Amino acid sequence: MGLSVSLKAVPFIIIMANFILQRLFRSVFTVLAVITIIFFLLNLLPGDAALLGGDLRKSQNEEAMEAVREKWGLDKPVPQRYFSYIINLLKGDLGISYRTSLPVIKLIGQSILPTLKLAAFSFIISVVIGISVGYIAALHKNSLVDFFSMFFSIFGISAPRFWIGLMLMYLFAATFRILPASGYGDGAISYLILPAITLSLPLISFLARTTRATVLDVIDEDYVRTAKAKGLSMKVVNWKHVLRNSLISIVTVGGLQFGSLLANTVIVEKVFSYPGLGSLIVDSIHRRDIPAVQGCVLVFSLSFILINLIIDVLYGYMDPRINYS
Amino acid sequence: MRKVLKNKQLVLGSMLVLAIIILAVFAPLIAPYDPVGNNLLSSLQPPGGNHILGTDSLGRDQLSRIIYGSRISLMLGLTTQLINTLIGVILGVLAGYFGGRVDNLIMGLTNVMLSIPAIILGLTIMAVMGPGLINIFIALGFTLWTYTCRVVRAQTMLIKEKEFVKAAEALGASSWRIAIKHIIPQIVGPVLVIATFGAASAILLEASLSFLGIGVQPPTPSWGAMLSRGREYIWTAPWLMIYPGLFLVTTILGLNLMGDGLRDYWDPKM
Repeated sequence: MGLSVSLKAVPFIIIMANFILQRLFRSVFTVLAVITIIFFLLNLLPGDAALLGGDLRKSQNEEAMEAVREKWGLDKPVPQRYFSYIINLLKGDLGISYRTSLPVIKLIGQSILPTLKLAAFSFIISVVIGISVGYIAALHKNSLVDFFSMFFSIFGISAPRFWIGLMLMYLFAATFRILPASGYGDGAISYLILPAITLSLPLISFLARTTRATVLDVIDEDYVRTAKAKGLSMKVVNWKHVLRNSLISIVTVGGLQFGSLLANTVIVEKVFSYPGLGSLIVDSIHRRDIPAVQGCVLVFSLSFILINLIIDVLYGYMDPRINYS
Repeated sequence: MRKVLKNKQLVLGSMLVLAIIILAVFAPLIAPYDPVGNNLLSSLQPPGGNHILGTDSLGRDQLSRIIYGSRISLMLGLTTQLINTLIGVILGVLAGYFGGRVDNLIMGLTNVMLSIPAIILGLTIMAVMGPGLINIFIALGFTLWTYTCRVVRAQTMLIKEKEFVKAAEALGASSWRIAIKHIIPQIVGPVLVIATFGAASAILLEASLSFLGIGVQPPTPSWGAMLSRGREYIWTAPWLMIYPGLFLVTTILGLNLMGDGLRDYWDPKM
């Protein structure tokens, strides 16, 4: 008895803070593990990093190879390189790019903004359209609207983003000539439209399907039946009871997709020659620029972990039934 | 059987997948031309005439290349899912059945793998190993097992508390026997559903990586690599990006419909 009373006396804010701290702690471990795995993957697997870092022709000249290795510190043993990498990371130093001889952090700094802009813009489009379509489809279950939106969405999930991008480019840039085919155009909105639609179509489809399924579940709940039985108008029931209660799980599922949206900028940026983090990582892979690849992978994974953490905490905050321990 | 036939998604999906399988198996009989035979005299011909879907910049027949390309997509979907399912089921059963430290270790690894987006992980592995068909099999074979592992673990934890497992334990059955005889048969359904969706993602990932130029290399006819070349001809020869994409979408759509159908079949509530 006494225990349950004292448990209840703990303010919500403290439970919440405790929960957030725990998740934060766990995330730090995940981050460290990800950094380690990526480092060893890129530094231990077959292929001489010095050869990869430099020009392939240099590999025939043993002296030149030695010079390259020494220049990038590749002559030192891997564990030593790992520890100096970690220490540099803590100082905010991601190393020097082999290709450009610029600090990797600078390269990432230049390209992260276009990527974030693209991802955020696409996410907003996806949430607004995806949830609306799914909600309307659910309210008109088995109607023609429902059938078409669900057909469209399974197609949207199955079509590769790069193909959607190419088709849109063909239609709107090559045939009708109303939008620019590729590039960044100093950030002009017209250059953002096609990449953003391309990036969001699969997410729109996914959210439409999830929303429809969730809303159909919620419609069957007791509290919705009660609300209807009370004589509330359908409008009030649909907005206040059905949509609101569906949103919690949609937000969770949808939020987690923001990470995959960010990762898929890699494809979309390459299709539209859009100068962001995705283009940077692909170009760096082609040029065997290991420090730059490592830096980009790190940024993608860190944002992925951060987003998951935020969703986790938000979910805990929104749904009081969640167990915080 | 009737339940299967009434399941429209399953029927439609299986038909699409079957059509692609037939293309892949009988490619040498169906394809009208050699998929890698250059003929510069007939380069970039639009669809129609001798070449139903036109030719590419080297004069290769696009239909034949697409037909042979189905072999790569299907082989890849099948092989990677075999590897992934094997890894996922073994690790999932181990984690779910033994719990404790084993569980912590396996789930720790799974969570770390899940923190690196699949396409980024695929890119990284390909960056290290270099482009190539075998390398992409390896890259995708070892990256997509996490979801299977999580579901198998959860199912195993439920099943191991069931009475028939407890009874087997009481009769002195070894853990190995319980896993093979009692747990794995119970999780075939969900695992098959995940493997079907997984094959779709593997095919999609291969196409994406090949499109980025770090997957299957020319002259091997892979749909993704064909689309990558097609992008250069978007102004002059749009058929080079339209048709390989249509086949790619059909395959993935078929697998996704099949996955949806199978899921409804095993668990209508899911």
